[in-house]
Amino acid sequence: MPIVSYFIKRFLQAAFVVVVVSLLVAFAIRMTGDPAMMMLGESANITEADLHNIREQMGLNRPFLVQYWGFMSGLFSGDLGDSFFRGAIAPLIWQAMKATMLLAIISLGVSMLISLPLGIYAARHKNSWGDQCIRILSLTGLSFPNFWLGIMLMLLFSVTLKWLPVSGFSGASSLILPALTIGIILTASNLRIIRSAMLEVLNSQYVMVARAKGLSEHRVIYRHALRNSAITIITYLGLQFGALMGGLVVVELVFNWPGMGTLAIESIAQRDYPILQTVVTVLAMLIVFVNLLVDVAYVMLDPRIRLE
Amino acid sequence: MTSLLTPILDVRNLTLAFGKMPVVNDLSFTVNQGETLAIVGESGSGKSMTSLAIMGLLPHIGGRVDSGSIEFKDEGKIHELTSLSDDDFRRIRGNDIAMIFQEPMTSLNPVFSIGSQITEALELHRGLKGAEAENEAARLLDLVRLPNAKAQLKRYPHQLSGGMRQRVMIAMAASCNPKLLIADEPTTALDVTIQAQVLQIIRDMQSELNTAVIFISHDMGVVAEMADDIIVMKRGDMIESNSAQEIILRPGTDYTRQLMAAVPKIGAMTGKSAPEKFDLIGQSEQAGSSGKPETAQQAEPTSKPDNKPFDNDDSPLVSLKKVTTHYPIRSGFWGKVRHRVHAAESISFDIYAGETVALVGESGSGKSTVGKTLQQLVTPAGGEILFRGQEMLSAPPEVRDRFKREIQYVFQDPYGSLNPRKTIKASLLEPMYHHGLVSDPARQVAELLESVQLPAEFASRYPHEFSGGQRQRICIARALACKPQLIIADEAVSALDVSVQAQVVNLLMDLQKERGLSYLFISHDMAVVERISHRVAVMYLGQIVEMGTRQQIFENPQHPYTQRLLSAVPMMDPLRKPQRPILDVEIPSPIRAIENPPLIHTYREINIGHIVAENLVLF
Repeated sequence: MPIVSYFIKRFLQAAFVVVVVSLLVAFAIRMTGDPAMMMLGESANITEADLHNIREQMGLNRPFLVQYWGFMSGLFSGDLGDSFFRGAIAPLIWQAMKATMLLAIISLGVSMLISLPLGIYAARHKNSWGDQCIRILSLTGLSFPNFWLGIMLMLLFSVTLKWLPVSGFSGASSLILPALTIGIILTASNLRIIRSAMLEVLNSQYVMVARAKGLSEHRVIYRHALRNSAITIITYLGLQFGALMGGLVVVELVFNWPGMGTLAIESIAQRDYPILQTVVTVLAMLIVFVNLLVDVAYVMLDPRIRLE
Repeated sequence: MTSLLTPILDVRNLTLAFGKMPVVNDLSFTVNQGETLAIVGESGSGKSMTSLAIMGLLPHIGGRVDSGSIEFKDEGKIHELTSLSDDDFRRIRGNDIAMIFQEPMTSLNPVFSIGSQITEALELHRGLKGAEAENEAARLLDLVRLPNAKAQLKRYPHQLSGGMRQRVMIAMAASCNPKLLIADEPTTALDVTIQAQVLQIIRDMQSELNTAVIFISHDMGVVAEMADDIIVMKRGDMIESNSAQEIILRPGTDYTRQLMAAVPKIGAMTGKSAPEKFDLIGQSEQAGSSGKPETAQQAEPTSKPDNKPFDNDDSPLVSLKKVTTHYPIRSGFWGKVRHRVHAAESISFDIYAGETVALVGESGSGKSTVGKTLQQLVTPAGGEILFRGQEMLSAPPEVRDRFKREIQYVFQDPYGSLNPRKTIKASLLEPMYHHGLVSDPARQVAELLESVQLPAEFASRYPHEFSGGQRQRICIARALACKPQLIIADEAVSALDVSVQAQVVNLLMDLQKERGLSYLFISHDMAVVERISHRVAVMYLGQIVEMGTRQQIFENPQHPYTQRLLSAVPMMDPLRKPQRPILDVEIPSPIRAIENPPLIHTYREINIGHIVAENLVLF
């Protein structure tokens, strides 16, 4: 059963990474200062008794590892406790997570719909006019900073043309601009990787053999070539996912999108560290989970891993 | 006789180009039903371009047909292939005209099963579906003698050896009973014994289906076995065309004679005790020699005795005593070592100063592992290696480093073994700096290049500017840079065209004479080994099965494996097309469970210095 042992190993690795990352997050957040002090703010008349009460109330005087254990078991049971200023954490995270995932999936999907056919076209017609244009567009897209691109799109479509809402979350139309901002940057980088992955495969002997069988060009490209380049493309997407999450934080802020990024920034501003710790830990777990999915995809795509 | 034949492919005045560069000029030939036409030439002669043009695949690698016609005749209908629409061509391609490519390792798509790759063509051209297609695929695999055909269908390319993959390719090409089969160097990447099998399978298929075959090769020896007619090409021009018998017995041009002289012929050295250089007519090294291809030039006797028997009085330069090298295979959840590759098992032999010992065997026989162990690239699990009488493995690091200098390695792939971003000069000087041998870099590099017959100006250039043969000379120069006593040449000429191969072999023999070098010559090619070696050790499944002087092994082979290796070498005899039984057994795997070690051979000495494993059973 090599495949079962492969999955168990990958799962244990992922679990280990989650433990290390969440420990680091918990530790780093406590390094930023005394949470009790932060909660009480900077007013002058704080007494030692107030601080003690707060610590007692929040469980801050328990040992670090006990607190960590409480946090992690809460995370997995869905009972995340209370924030300093905004009540229960669980519904906050749940709402933000839905908004962020909606944005991530829409922009990733749209980007793949554009970059896959264009990337394949560029690889098949290497050095043609079309390929040159695609490469220039891709480089242009890559060189925009995401916040600048977001603001420009907002100025054009919301402020000047007034076609779309400026910011916030009010129905499908408000999804368009943030998704477009992330989508353009994702598409630009996806295009490059799809083009080069396809180029490599198209030059291989087995593609020539597939053609020599008399298969249609469509079948050669979409069955024989794409299945092989998908291995490279999916690896890249897995690595990209972390960057995508980072980009989302900025873009959410620009469009005031009520997702994980906005929640994180708000809780930093308010020094609401229970929320911040949850947001960062959940995002890290999400990235680990997506890369675990990539490992599963490998197994389905590549018999050399499946039958090792 | 010719009048009875039905022409199936008619190529007229074909000119092919790559951008502005013409690659084939004004080529004309005809292929008849059931016959084999061989197109022979070296790399760059345009032979592969011609085959891709017939398949209509030239545009995919950036080439095009400039002028001329390719007519394919199919039951009265004539298709002009150069102007056929893409859709019409697809009905012919893979169906009426099929092709086998050179590299079996990369010809099959790694992510699809063998079965799905064969049934794909059956579904497309013959309309077979599901179980019907699968049964037909199994029948095709039976046809190419792949054992356990039904089970093979579910396997993936990476689970098959090169020889098995090439059989799958042939099955795929045969799937639609093609009228014309194009085989582009189908055996170049394979071991001789596997080559013999694959050639036999192609011949069997041809006689069964009455297929016409275009057989493309650079190797006159293989061509002589296969062809009815031969075309010789050089740099895009056809320079000779005739029946195979005529060309082989009475070659009409110097170039053809050169191609033939470069083919090592087994038995050419019968009765001679010393190694001999190839007689390369009309080429730089042998300019002005006589035009007779069959006479080999006698090497001058060297000061060292060429044929050292085992009971030599001198002490050997290198002595391997029961050297054993394993590669552990980790498996299971905890990655425990449960299996080992028994790559080299109890290997013992000596190499004397000025002597060439050849280590022959097929891929996976462990011969490279022995070389790598001797070069200290892998650590043996047991045994001892004595270098000039000193134990190598237990020696202090500085002594081991000196041994690394005195033993040098030349690898098989001249393209992969030079750093593409370093000049030749930098590559040559690197080991010399490490061993503190640099005094006057410019002069030393010039001398090294001259010693391998390359101009000193090459020093400032980069590897991509050179041909495979030139690169291999540079690699030899790099090995010489450390003033070694022993050079391990690991398939050092196997990747080269035959004519270049002969030149490099001659160079190695010249260097040996000048410098008293010893060689461990690792090769799967018996005919080259016969040329260059003083003594030969035959390896099979990690162990030596027979060892003796060159004459003992070639003129009186005792072990069945040695005999099989020898009989697999193509004969350049147009009157005799060898029929070889096709074995559907692969060499067993050297991977064994930890608790199940292999039986170690015991030997008997049948003559002075000629030892043979007592166990004569092969599988």
